Amino acid sequence: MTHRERNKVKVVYHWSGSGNIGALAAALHLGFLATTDGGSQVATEINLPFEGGFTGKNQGSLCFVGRAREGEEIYIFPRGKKPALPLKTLKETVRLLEADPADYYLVDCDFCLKQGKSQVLITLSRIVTQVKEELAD
Amino acid sequence: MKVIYHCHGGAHSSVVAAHLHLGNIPMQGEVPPEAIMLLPEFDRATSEDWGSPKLVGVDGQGNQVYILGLGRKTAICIRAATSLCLQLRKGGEVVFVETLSSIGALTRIGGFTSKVLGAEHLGRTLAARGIVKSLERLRQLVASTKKIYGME
Repeated sequence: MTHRERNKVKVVYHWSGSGNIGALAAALHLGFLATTDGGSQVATEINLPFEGGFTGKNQGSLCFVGRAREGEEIYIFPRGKKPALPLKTLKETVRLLEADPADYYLVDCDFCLKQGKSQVLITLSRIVTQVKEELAD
Repeated sequence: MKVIYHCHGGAHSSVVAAHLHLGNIPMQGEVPPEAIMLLPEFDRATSEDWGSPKLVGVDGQGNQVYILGLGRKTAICIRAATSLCLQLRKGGEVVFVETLSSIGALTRIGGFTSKVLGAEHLGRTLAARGIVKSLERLRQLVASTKKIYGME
């Protein structure tokens, strides 16, 4: 993918909204946090935005958090505990607005929570790395 | 502009509001339940359709009129859709109008009877009768929408 093509890409890290896992993924993607095991400790100690997660009244808000050096826009999306309908609505709205759904890269971060608390950041780092690699192809 | 009338199932109140907007149902005078039941989208949508806006028609000013069902996730989904519109700088192009609050218990019971209990004919009839009772509120909602957004 060229830099120009990558400029169109929007990576949306989505999770239930409880806790800061989506914000953590976005911070990793944007390079604000070290992704090595040595950096894991630092990451858990700093104050990230949205640390307390999103309450019910804020769930569903698609938030732009930054543009990666490689060009893609990074969003977080606290979509509630049942993701199917909010994600479908998001994709359908993209179509409705005549944008290209293929430009939206939806990444489920709740998947990491199944790995156990101590492994969350490591698993999240791997996912972010995988996303970046796929975008680079 | 795109006008999206949305409710729980996308099968009753949003359908009637969309057809009121398009002029397929008059904004004044009595309407029999049979006329409501003849609307092509009335009592049709299922949970599979939720989340996908369905184009019903285009009004005289070129505005596209849609219906949308969002189940119990209305608040989250509308927030998702509106925040996306804002991110894409298309906030002025789409209007979301909630229709569920304009109808009464009879339409809700009818919808439940048709969609959950599976008694389609009875449910449709009850829902249509409920719509007729709530028609003035739906008309006011549509009239306000048109007035606020300059679509009269």
